[in-house]
Amino acid sequence: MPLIYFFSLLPLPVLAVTAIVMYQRKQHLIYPIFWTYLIFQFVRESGEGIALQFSHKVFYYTYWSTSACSVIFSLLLLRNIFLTVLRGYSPLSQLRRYGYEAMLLACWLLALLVAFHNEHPRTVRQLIFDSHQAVSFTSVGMFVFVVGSSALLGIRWTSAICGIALGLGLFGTTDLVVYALLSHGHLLSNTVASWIQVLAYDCGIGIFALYFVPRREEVQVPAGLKPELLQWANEVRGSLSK
Amino acid sequence: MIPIVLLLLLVAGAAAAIARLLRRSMEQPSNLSELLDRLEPFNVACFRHIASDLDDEYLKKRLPGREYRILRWIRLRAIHAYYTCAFRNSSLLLSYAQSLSRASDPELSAFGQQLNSTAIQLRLALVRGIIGIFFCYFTPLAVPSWRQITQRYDQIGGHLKALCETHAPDLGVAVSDHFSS
Repeated sequence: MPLIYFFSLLPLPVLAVTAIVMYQRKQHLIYPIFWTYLIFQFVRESGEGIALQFSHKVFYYTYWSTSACSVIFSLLLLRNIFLTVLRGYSPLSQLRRYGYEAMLLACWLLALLVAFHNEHPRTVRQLIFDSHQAVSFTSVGMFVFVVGSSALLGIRWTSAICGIALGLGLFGTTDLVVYALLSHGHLLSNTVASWIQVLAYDCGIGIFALYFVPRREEVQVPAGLKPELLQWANEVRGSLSK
Repeated sequence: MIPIVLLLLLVAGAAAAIARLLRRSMEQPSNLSELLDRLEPFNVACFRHIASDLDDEYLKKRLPGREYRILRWIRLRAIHAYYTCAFRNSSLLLSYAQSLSRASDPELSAFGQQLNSTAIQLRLALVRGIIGIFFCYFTPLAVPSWRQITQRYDQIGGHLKALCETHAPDLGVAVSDHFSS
């Protein structure tokens, strides 16, 4: 078995463990889209492995249809992060309601412009690379928007949300770089591109596991003053003022 | 050429975002005393004086053009420094407010939400102000958003003073010192 197959199947047990741990801790109720995404990635990886055993044609259709679903999941997850972090800020309700969709539209138009700006005739292979580049561009654009807007507004993220965004950002950025290089001539060989994508995928799944499998202490909540101490302080203040 | 530049910019932005997520550098004060220690001094009265349009009008009438422009440049730089300082303080205030709003005590939680709302309004005013001040360097525009900034800063001071009265009376003086208007 070639080494690349080993590395591409490596995330399967990690995905399974992460999903099971999340289920046991009832985190699947807190992050339902992310949990479904993990299950989807598990099914995708297994499905692609099985499809490869049948024929290249089956693998081809499985790969491209699951890739499209994966991008839709990424955009949904980023939207969910955006809505979650802006929850509770009434002055930002307009941004929360329309910001993501408006930015998605702008990113999509820009991505189409970047990918299909020149009108030279394309082979099917180039068309696939350009389309994938446009999709990755949109996904990375939304990732930068979600992280950038939170950073600008000074909103702090929980470690779980950081982990989800970090993994998605890594997948998107790697895809964007690889497909941009592939579509702009022959700057990258297919073998190197496959290796980069497989290793980045492994790292991304590793990040998800790192943020969700070990127990993490979230933000320390400042403790309020004990009532008896407060009463004592008030009494001292009262006696001093007499 | 433009599409390649856009691609490179986006990849650089994504790399910066990933680095930021890895660092998770936003400071998180765990109590009011720590918050007050970390806040940078921001004198609202002085800031109001520097940013005032009336003073600017007065100087414009009295001074020769070249001297006025030099003075305006210095003034804008000082205001910019104030904005930057308030921007850093607003990060800390937001972070503290977020942790308070997760407190188990309902009173503290409600206070955290109130502080959160005011701090995010301050932050928005500061974002507008910092962008606006950049244009003031090149155009004769009035200093943007300074009234909202001083107003929000005073409001935050008021909120923290109210918190001190009920939960940390010994810190009242420190809060008054920092948020004196």
